[in-house]
Formats: sequence, structure tokens, C-alpha cells
Amino acid sequence: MRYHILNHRRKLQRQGWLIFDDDLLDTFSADGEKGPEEVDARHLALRDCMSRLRDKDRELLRHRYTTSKPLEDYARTTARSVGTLKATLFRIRAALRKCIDGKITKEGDFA
Amino acid sequence: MTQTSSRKNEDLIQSLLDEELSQADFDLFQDRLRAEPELRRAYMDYASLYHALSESGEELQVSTLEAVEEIPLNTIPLTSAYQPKKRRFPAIPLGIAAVVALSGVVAWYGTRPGIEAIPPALATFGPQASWQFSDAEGENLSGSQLPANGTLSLTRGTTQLELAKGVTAWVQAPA
Repeated sequence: MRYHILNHRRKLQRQGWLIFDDDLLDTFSADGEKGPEEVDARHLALRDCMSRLRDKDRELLRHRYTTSKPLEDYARTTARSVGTLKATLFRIRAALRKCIDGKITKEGDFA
Repeated sequence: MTQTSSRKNEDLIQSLLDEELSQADFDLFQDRLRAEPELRRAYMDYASLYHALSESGEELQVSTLEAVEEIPLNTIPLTSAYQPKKRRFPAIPLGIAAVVALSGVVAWYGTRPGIEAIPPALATFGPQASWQFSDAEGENLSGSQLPANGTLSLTRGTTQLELAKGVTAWVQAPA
């Protein structure tokens, strides 16, 4: 089994995939994983946080995560530059992370 | 960590998850991850967020379900986490996130000298999940415990698999 996994990882790396080293994966594991309750709580928090976004930001997220169309298409449709859309996506995700963390911390069970 | 460095770290993480990081930058990022627990936590938060957004996106989509993807239980770390839809460089759509989610599985398998049989796994499914279990003979099963050498067909949503030794893996479909 170990041979198959290592062989598969080497194959993926040859295909251009970026894969964390084994020792780093061990470190992530040692940090601990989120339990199912926290995963569910974060998912619910995400929904709530998304509902607070502006419509056009939510629409940008929808395009990014539900279509396979390039961002250039959406940029043309909305008359915005790709750079602007990328920067907006960065800000939206940062805001969502902050919002989720705030809710989880407020609930206190998983912080 | 200052606000500026925190912002830079977040930009770096998002660039990685957006597949816009070069191999050289990725190597540097790995070195930093080894040394900085806070950066690892931020990375995990973003990886989870990207994963959840992809799942939430599916809820918004009107189109019907995609074709069923078979996920043989004994190959979950290999097939569901990394399978690229098309070759790209650098390419890690959900790969990195899934790699992290499945890191316990990889580490567990990787450190065992030899495995005679895959032990049963307990599956917990997300609210949007659609799935089917079958045993080694292809017979459909009910319940939440997968038998050794069984198969999980996850057509939509996410599932958490609790394997022996406390290892937990998350799998999302469509891939």
C-alpha cells in the first residue's frame, strides 16, 4: 500500500501537481482536525455570512464556484477588469473567514 | 503577527488555493508552514472555506447531478483527493485542500509496514449528500458502517469517513 501511494504521489508530481511533503502532512495531522460538530457549525456560519454579502459579491462567488467559465467571461459581462474581480474575490473570502471565525468564537464551543 | 504580515499570508494562501503559486513559491510556503503554526491554522481555515464554497456553489446551481463517481474504499486517498480533470500547472484545484483533509489517512497508510485488509469505516454525511454503499460482491447495503473492501458511491455532497486508529477523511463529490 505504501508503495502504491508513494508511486501515485510521484506520478501526480510529474503531472505538475503541487503536493505537500509527507512530514508536513504529519504536522497537519498532529495539529488536530476539526470534529464533525465544528465542520457543521462552520458550514452553517458560512451560509449566514454569505447571506450578508452584497448581491453582486454573492453573484461573483456563484460564478467562481458553480461554473467552469473563466473569470474573463464574467469580467466582460460585468464590465469589470479581471484584476478587480480577483481582488474582490480575495476580499470576499477574507471577509467570510473573519465572519466565520467570529461566529465560531462567539459560540465558544470550538474556539 | 502584524496586520500587514497577516494580510500577506492570506494573499499567499489564496494564491496557492487559486492555483497561482509557482513551484518555487510553493516550496518556500511549505518551509514556512513547517515552522509557523499560525500559518498552518490560517491555511486550514482557507482550505476549509474553499471546500465549503464549492459545496455551497453546487446548491446554487440549477443543473442536474453529474455522473456517479465510484469511490472504492481502499483507494480513497489516491483517487478522490487528487484526480485532476485536466492537466494544468501549477494545478491544485481542491487537491491541496483534500490532501490536507486526507493527510491523516495518507500518514497512517504511509507509516504502516503492511496492511492485510482494510478495516471498516464509519461514514457521516453532510445535509446535501447522496450516496450508496455496496459490499465486495456489489450488493447494496444500508447503515453507516462500510465493510472491509466495500465501496462508497458518493454522487453529491460531502462525507466524513472515520477509519481505524482515529483517522478521519473528508470526501466531496462531484470531484
